[in-house]
Amino acid sequence: MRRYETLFITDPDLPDEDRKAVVGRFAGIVEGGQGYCIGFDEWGARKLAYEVKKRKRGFYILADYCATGDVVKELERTMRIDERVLRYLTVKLADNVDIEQLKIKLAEEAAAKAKAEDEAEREKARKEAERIKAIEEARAEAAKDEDEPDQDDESGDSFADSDEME
Amino acid sequence: MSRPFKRKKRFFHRRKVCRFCADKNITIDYKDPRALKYLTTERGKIVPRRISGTCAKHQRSLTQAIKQARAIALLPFVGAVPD
Repeated sequence: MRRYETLFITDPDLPDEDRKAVVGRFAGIVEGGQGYCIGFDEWGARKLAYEVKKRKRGFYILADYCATGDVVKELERTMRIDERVLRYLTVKLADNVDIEQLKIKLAEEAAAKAKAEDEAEREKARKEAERIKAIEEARAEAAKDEDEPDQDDESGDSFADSDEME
Repeated sequence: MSRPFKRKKRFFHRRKVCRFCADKNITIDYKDPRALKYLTTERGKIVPRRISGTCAKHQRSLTQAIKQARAIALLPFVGAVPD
């Protein structure tokens, strides 16, 4: 099994169901050839560097999968016939990939990424709390500065009171 | 036979280090047109090695990546790169 990635461009005005149909067909061919679809990364509509089939924009989809060579041939034949796919480019990433080991490695990477995201979230929350605390402290400082002239007046009053008491 | 003008000979005018050898983390990928566009001219031509300072190995993979990007309309054959 080799690891390939195929970047293909579909019509940007295509409705979502049609696009999902293209992706599903792609996945179906890979699975049919005992391959393994790792993932589909949809880049979205982008401006093309030059006009392709009279269109200035295209919807890019990146497919990452493991398959044998004849599966790739079948995929390319299908894409060539399909009118919804404008361009495709297949690149080999690695030779002799063991599917089971790959699945384990991908699961580990996903877990590590999730953990890193959690930590980033916690950092952000902590920083927010610190920021709020700093703002409140600054506000307390400002309030205290305003109080000081008042305190002098109060001390004057207390002296007056003590005189009256005697 | 005398030539009307002689072209100035310049040896070794680019001792710069290959930017991909210096930083091992930069990967040359056809999917990243923003990184590749620094190694193409305004007209879209690939910058020669003696100007950009890349080493032979990386220039070969760079050329392949640029040609692949052109094939999939991420980089133009002629003209400036769209943002």
